[in-house]
Amino acid sequence: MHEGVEVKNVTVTYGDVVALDNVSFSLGHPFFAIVMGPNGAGKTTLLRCLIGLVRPVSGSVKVFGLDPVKRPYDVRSITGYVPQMISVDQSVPLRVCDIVAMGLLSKMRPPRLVRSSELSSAIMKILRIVGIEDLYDKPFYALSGGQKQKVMIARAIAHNPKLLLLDEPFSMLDAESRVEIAELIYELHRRYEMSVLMVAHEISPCMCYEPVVLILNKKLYAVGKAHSVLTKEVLMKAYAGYMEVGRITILGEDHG
Amino acid sequence: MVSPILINMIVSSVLSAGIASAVSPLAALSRSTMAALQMLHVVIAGGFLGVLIYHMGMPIPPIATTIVFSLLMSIAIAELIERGFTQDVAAAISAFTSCAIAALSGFLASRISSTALTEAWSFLIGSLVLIRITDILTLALLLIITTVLVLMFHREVIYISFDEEGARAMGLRVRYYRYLLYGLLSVVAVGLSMSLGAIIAHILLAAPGAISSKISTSIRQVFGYSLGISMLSVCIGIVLAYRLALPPGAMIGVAVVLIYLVFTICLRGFRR
Repeated sequence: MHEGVEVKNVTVTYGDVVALDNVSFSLGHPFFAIVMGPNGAGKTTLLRCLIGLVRPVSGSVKVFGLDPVKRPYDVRSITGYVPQMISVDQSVPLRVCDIVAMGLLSKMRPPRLVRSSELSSAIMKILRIVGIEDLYDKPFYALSGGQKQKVMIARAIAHNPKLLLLDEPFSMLDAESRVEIAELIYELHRRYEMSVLMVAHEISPCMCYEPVVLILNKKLYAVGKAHSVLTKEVLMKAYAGYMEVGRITILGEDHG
Repeated sequence: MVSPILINMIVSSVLSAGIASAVSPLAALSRSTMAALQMLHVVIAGGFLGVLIYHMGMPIPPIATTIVFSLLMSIAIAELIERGFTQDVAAAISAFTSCAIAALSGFLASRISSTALTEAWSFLIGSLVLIRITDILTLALLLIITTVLVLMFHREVIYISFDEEGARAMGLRVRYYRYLLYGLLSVVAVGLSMSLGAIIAHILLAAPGAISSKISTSIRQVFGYSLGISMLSVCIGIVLAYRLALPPGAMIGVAVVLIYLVFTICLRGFRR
């Protein structure tokens, strides 16, 4: 097992609110992992910790041996990040090629001058990997939800990262698109040995890939393969609104 | 023979339109238009402060004080936003601080010199009909600086506007690009306000970017339309002002409104 992500006793607070409470786990590269938990469980905070966007009040994080607090830009250079679609301002009239160019150019020094023919061919190469080369100059706002998610993934992998972090990549997608996106993410993991850590409320699109599942609700309740982690005992602890109705399990939220 | 006043007016208007067409889209795309307009309050405060300092016997030209003050305030606004304040709140804090400084500086300056207030206003509120060759040179220099900076850094500002968290995660130094954007807006606000007047500065900072960002499907189009709208509005405005013997600033404003109406009503299918 190679060094991947190591989180030791990490606590994060926003003012008086505890977002992560003494969380520890380690994942050896290359891993394919999903963080599950109710709303407000600290899932996004965990991702942000890994790239140094949030500083833990205690504990330590290592990403491929690098400390994101001390060397955030080094960590970000080996990490691709796909944020929640809700945080993207879709009124900015960017085309698909502009967005993928972001991922490529962000790793260069300002003023980031590059021949447009070289940039175009690099963009096209990445779009082919994701399977959306026909969308090259389409406006982002005009794409479907699944296509938008693929564009954001293309941007994230543009600089060939070792670690891909995705924040709710299946949100606002229909069932077919969710399966397609899960397949794409797994292919990136398998073919390019990319470690993947994604936040998801629903893991069914990924179940066939046997991901490592982390059950989080401020504290980490379990880490392991889905069949050993998704047990009634664990889910009852992590989800305050857990209930079973016939053969259906409802993972309710605790809004108390 | 065309009068030199008219030539100066046309040249300065075209230069101003060029400056505005470069920065206005960045302000609109980054949702900083209100902060950009608020910079005009900062310019007024800086001007009053500059005149006060000058009348207190310090040999610092008021324009230098105005530029430095505006830059410092722009960095303060950028820093407030960086620390989690919304743009509205940051702009509001900057507005009331500037107004307080303007009022206090104006009062103190008027106690030192009876002409200080008049000097401050005439220094701050330029006019197209009173444009001088030094104003034209200032605008030309401002156009060069603005164009170079926008060409070099517009991509980063737009990326940050599109997805700030993603931009940070990609390693972009968001704080410094925000400083750069607000600093540029403040210098442009100073230049346009002093050369052409605060009204035209308001119009040119806000309108081209706001209209072009609504009707464009790519970033290149945003800047192209912005340039077209700026140039068209100043040309129509000057022709109207000359024909109707009305103030050019007001007529440029009327031209912008007409252009906006044309785009939003007559060419509805063109709008995305």
